[in-house]
Amino acid sequence: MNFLLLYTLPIRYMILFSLAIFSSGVWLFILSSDTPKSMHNIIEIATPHLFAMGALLFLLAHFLLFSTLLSQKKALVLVVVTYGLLFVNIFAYFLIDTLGIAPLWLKYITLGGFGSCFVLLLGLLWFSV
Amino acid sequence: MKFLVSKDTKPSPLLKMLMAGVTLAILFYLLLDILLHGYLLGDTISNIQATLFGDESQFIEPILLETLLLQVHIDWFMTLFTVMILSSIYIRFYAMHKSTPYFVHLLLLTSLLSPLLLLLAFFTVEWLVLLWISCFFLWHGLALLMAILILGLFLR
Repeated sequence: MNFLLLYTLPIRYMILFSLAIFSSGVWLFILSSDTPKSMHNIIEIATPHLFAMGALLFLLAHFLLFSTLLSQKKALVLVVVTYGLLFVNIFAYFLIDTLGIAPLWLKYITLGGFGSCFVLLLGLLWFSV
Repeated sequence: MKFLVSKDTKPSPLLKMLMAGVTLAILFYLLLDILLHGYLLGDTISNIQATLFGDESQFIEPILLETLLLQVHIDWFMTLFTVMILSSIYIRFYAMHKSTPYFVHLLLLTSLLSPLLLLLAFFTVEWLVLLWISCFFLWHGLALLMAILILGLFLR
């Protein structure tokens, strides 16, 4: 098999892994959504997610640099929107629970938005490889 | 900025050391990951079944879904980075071998399915635990073999 073609294997599996991580994350969120969160809980959840989601999104989205399916301009918009929703989603609990300046549906809306952008990115990547 | 287009690591001792270092770290991680799962879920089949489903005779409660799901969620994330780095380095050196696509496929597939099987076992039947154990040791074994094969090249 061609040397470069072989690299499509880990990339395709990375997309499947990302879907599995995202699905289990959403499931965990649903399971714990009705329990009140303390500052300790919020930081405990936000800290690893800032690193993990940021790094994973970078890892996935950098492949769009080599994509011929999507223009660099559109890829840029998608990445900026996804990162934006990611940050609002992670910090939503601070705004809701601690500062009390945002409604609860902000968390659900940003999660839905982030999920849609993330799945779109994975789909584009799947068909670009 | 120059980008690497050659598989030859001889001109770059730094790259050689970097790849050897990350492979060695992954090798130790894989060994400790087996131990960690032994501590978290149990070191024998009956202990694992007691952790997952509980044991009335020993007054052991079944594991909480949230705890198990969190473990599976973390496992998927850690495994993703481990197998991606390892398979990428392996492909770099062993691309010409006929067995490489099958080898890489098997590693990636078993590592992806392993946490899923653990979750399925929790919800369905006890014998799936055996399948999870087989899958878990298969991907760890394959990954360890890959790491050893990569490190073997550096020792030549």
